[in-house]
Amino acid sequence: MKKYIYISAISLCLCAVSCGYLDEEPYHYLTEEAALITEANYLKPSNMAYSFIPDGYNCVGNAFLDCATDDAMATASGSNVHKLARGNVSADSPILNPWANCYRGIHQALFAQYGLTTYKPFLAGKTEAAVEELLERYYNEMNALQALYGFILLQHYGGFPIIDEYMGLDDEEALEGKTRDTFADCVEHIVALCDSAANHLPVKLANSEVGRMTQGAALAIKAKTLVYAASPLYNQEGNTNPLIGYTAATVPSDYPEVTDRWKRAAAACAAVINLKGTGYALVAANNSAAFNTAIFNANGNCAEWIVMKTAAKNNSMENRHYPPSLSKNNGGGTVPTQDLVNAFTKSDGSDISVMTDGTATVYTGRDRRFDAFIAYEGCKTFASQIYTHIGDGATKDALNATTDHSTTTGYYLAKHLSPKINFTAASPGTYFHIWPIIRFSDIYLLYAEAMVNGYGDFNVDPEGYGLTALGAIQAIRKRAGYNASTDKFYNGITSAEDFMNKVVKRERRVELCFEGQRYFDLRRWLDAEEVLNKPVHGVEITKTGSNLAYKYFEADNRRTFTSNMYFSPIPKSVLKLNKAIQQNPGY
Amino acid sequence: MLSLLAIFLMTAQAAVAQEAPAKDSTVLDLSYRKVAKSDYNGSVFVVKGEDLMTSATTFLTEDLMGIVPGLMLRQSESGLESGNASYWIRGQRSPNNGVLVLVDGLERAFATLTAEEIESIQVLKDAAATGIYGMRAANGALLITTKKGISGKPKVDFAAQLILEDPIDSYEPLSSAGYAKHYNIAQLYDGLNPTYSEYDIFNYQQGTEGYADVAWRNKYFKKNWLLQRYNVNIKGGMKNATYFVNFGYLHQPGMFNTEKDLGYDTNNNADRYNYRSNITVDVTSSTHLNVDLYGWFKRENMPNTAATTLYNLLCKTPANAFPEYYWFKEGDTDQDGNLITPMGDKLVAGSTYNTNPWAYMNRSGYSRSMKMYGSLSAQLRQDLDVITPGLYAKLNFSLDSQTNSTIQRTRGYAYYTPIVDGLYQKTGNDGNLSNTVEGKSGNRYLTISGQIGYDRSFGRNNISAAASYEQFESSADNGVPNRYQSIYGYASYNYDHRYGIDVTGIYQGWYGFAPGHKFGFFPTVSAGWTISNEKFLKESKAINFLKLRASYGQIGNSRGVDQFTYKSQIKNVGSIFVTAQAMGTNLAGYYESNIANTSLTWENVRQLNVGLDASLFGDRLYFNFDWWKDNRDKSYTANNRISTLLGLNSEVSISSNIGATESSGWEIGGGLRDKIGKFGYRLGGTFTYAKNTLLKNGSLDEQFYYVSPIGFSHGRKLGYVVEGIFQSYEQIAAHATQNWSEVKPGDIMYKDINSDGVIDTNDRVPIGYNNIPEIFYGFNLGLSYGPVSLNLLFQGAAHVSHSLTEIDFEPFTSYTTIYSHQTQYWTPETPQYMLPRTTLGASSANNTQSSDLFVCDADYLRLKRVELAYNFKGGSCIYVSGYNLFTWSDYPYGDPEYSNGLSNIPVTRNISLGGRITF
Repeated sequence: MKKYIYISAISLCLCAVSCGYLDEEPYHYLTEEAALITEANYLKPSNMAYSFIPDGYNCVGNAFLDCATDDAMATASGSNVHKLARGNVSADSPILNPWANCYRGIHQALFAQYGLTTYKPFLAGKTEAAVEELLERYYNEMNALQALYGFILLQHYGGFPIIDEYMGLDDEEALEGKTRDTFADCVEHIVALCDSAANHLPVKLANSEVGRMTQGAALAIKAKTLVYAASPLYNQEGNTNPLIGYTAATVPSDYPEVTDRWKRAAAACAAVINLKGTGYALVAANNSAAFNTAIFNANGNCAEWIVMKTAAKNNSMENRHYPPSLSKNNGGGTVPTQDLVNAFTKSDGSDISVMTDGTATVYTGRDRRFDAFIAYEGCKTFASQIYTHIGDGATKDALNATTDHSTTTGYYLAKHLSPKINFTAASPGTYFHIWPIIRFSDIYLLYAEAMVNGYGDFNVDPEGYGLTALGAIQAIRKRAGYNASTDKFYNGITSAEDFMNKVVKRERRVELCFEGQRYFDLRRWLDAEEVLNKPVHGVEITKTGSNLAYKYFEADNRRTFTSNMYFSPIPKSVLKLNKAIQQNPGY
Repeated sequence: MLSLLAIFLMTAQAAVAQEAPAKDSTVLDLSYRKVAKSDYNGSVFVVKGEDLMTSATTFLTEDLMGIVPGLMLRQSESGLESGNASYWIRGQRSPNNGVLVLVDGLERAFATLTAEEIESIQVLKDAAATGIYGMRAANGALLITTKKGISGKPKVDFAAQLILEDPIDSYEPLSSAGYAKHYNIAQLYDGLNPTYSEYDIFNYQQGTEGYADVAWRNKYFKKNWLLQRYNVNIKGGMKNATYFVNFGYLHQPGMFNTEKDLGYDTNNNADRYNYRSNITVDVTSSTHLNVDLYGWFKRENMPNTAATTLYNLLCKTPANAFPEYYWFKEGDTDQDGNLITPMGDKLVAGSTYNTNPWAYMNRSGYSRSMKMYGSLSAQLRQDLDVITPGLYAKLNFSLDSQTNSTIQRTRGYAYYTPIVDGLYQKTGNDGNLSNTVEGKSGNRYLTISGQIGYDRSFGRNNISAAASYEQFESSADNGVPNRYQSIYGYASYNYDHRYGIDVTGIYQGWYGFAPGHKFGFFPTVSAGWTISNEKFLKESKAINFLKLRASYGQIGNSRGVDQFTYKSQIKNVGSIFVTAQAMGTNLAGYYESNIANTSLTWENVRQLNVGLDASLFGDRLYFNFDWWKDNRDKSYTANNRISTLLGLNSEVSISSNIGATESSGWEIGGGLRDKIGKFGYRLGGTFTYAKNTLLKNGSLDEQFYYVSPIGFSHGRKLGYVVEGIFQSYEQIAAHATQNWSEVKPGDIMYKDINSDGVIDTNDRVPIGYNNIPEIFYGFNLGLSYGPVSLNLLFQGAAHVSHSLTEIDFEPFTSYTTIYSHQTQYWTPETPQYMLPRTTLGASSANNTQSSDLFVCDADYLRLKRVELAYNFKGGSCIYVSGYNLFTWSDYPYGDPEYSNGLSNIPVTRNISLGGRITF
């Protein structure tokens, strides 16, 4: 009997073995479904997708990308932007490296689209149709964002591997053999995303949604992409590498000639310009200060903005770029060159006299934008006057007074900066700094470029867009204080070629300085090798008593741009993983 | 090694004629089985509790250094809270280290046990020994058994010990004059005007009033401190029950010279209380009950919130930063003209650049942490001879719980900078002590298991087998309990104690793996041949014991795997996208914080072990030798091979089962012992060699094999080869381009390994070794004459290196001081020095690259333990002992085991006096 009691007791114990002991799931994990079904949360993945838009204030090593052009220099000697400016670029150390960030943005946008199509949120007080319409809209915002990230890749690398599907770890292997798509295909991919977005997005958004992608944004990305696609860099005769531009085989059949591509671009630009009156406009600026207050420090609902990086009010820009006497952490940062100073015309539209030692640079009676964008010896842009001279009464702001902070060219940056931040106050104050990616005047300038190159004349409008190339430039210069009839800027311009080289390029340089445009403009115009191999200049003003003596010097004489730099190198870390991805030539 | 063996053999032969010491009759107490060590085929080393009781240390881990073949340890901190040594069995064999520690069969920490309550520590090394623990013990296991009572009269054992700890300081900060001199030099070469005049430096040297020169560390960090340790236990028993009851107390005094009149203590003193009660009861003649209660309580006081922060401040604050305080005079005012009302009569000195260590210690309050651990385990064994002789069943239950909490009683304080006499710049305000409870945490462990076993001998056939079920869970304060579920068993057959074969197997699952990948089966097999039990050796006088054994197993390793990463997860990020008019709304976002890894599972481990145990010449010469090989694949490791095209968020890191490692090694432990009349001696040694090769991991393919970690050992350091220091701009221009920062004379010159004219990541080569040594050894000498005994243990490590941190070579970073070893930097006047030019600015990126200049071999040999004892009849004794007494090492930056810059309290050299009364 005892035997059986023991046996049954043991069997009982063994039966008590709990099944499902290991099946407990982590209850604190936020799952997709729980996260994306609610009204409060369903837009969060798309919000996140916007966070990958780069801002250019500290594009490279805390400096503007413009420091790698003839427009500017970085005061910090250790800034990586010097490497770029001096041609120190390799696949190992690409300096400009938006690759990972763009693909993160694309993945996040695809994830948002996956969420919007997989989980239908419950939205209070909305009909089925209204919900569908909203989902459609947000889905298309994500298309426009993908187009933007695609454009950034195109701008840097040429053709890139197109990713248009939401993927997980299990799809990772499929990516291993992925190659770059051709330049032509990438252009059409971006255009298609923009077309789809433009069809479903509101022209401009209500105040409560400023910052999101709009029809205007989609059309502007398309216009800019097409201007790039028509530009000399991508249309070089005899090119056989379809990744870095059109080849005989990849030229789009609808636009066989370069002029056709310019015309296509002009039409795309015109589509944006003709949104005028629906919330977009060239914002008026009746004096120099207004450029910053009305545009660069304006809130995001400014009519000038089309595509931008939004941000909350802050003063970090001022802290970094103010002259040292006004900054909290010693300032400096990005400083304009004498070369850029010379590019601004006088108030009658004529050039200032060529700089020679002993001759002063005339700072008064210049383009209205000059005072808005550049701070110079004795200027009254900021709360107190600043002085860059050396010699008697030299300040911290004087040329090379302190390492890494004082100007290295004799000038300071004024564009983007609010003059009203006071770092000695307990609360210094904050202002908006909305980084322009595409703004209305950019589109005007692109339009002028596309029209004059497409139709071979700067004063025609065969398609009836309502504006000529010349008209577009005049509109921009009007805001800078020029009257079209008296502006000497156009003196001697007769050919389309002159108009492009002397008017469009120079106006673009001035209007869009410190917006990260010129580096890519010089690349796409194939001008970079000519322009970026020259030294950049600064001014040394010496004060003796009340006398100022001017001397001009080479502020950086190591500027280098080699032919391979027309395209950025694909980072080596990318190539190590995706061995099928082709490197750009010369790296 | 061989010649040493030969000497042993010769000496041993001469000693054969003498009286033979007692034969080794160790019985292994494995958690699932008891077996005579001579019949066991796995690789196990046993340390007896009594060998640890007189050592001058506070942690059991420290006592194991150099006495266990196959076990490597490194102690890089001291103090009751974190002085525990790190340890590895047979080196690093996987990206995921970690040894299973079982105390009386259950997973528990063992460092807090006292030596007096330990019966034995068994070190399990090969698959045969660890396989039965499945995925938990692939890197080896430590099995600790505690003492049980014995039938008979109560036996009392009282032990008391004083331990004097003397920190081995690694760095010597310069005095104010030295600091000022070097600061001026740094400024000179930065192109700045020197801050300190000759007059200032003279005054620093003279100690003129108003010229602060505070030797912070030497003044406020004690030269030594005295720990006290007491332990008492009673064991005994009647016919049907036995007991072992133990109580221990350890006191560590504060290590700092703090103010005494604060009304509270800010020093880092600590107390620990241990208790244990192990009771066994024979309920009936066939039913045996075992109930163990164990726990400890630890209370630790800290200045502000951490003693390590204070130590760090004391070491790095410049001697001339400020005095500790200024004496308050009636009528002193601050910058706003307000009269100052200080706490006491001292005004805290300070500046914005450095925290005043004196104020951190005496004016910023204290914290007190309390930790409590309690455990109960019960085991019921029923002999089932009624069914068939040799059959038994066992039930185990154990419940452990730990709770921690810290009360922070910290306060803010004002500090003052003199402007003119009687007028101070005041910064901050004196605050009241806070009273917040921080760091409340706890863990609970619950184990339930049952076993049916069979143990019987039929003539010369010995059979033993058992089958078990076990579930184990540990749960922290939040989250799903960490769970293992297992069915396991073993079968053992042995013929005439000559030929034996054992198999073990476990079917085990872990909760964190992907569904369908949770459970695995892990078998092992081992065999042994005891040659000395064969007829032809049975009568041999020279060969007393000789056994050949081998084992092979396929097991798993679940350590290091991130639980639940088979599921995707979404994470909320606040304020990611600014929108709305005037950019007034900051929206939140969601991203995929984990991408589902649907094949998440264990690391596969295959282990082979061959061993030889011998005892010769009347058991005077003995050794055991093991050779092993360990192959792993599907190791869980960081996967950096995820294409950027997938676009994973930068916050997301992916680890997967993609690694592979191959390791092998050997270890030997042995000795010579004898007793000639009253004189006894013991010579012994251990030697461990463990080498691993990383076969696969998640790193990117490299153009040059030497840049890739593949084919090298784990922890391989990668860096540039230093050719020297640039002496001139011409030299820089002629050398391969170095692109990190603008290169100046005085910067480090690196070798262009691939000769492409540019120093880039492809010029890095493997340098040094892992910080886990490949070679670890110890040798001891024991002498006894009548009641007096002397033991010496030397211990060493080789093939080990440490990477220096910036504090090791770069003075003045973040307003820190300069140490004597940092003064040999390059200047045009001292071009021969190997440290790069010094600067007050941001350090030059060129000079902070990982390179062979900043990796140092840390081989060492230490006189680890010395114990001199006088033994009375009956077990009582008095002794003096030492720990870390002498060190021989070429490591240039302080202690070779101490490799953490200034963030820890350094290791100590100990001297101890103790006694034991047994009656």
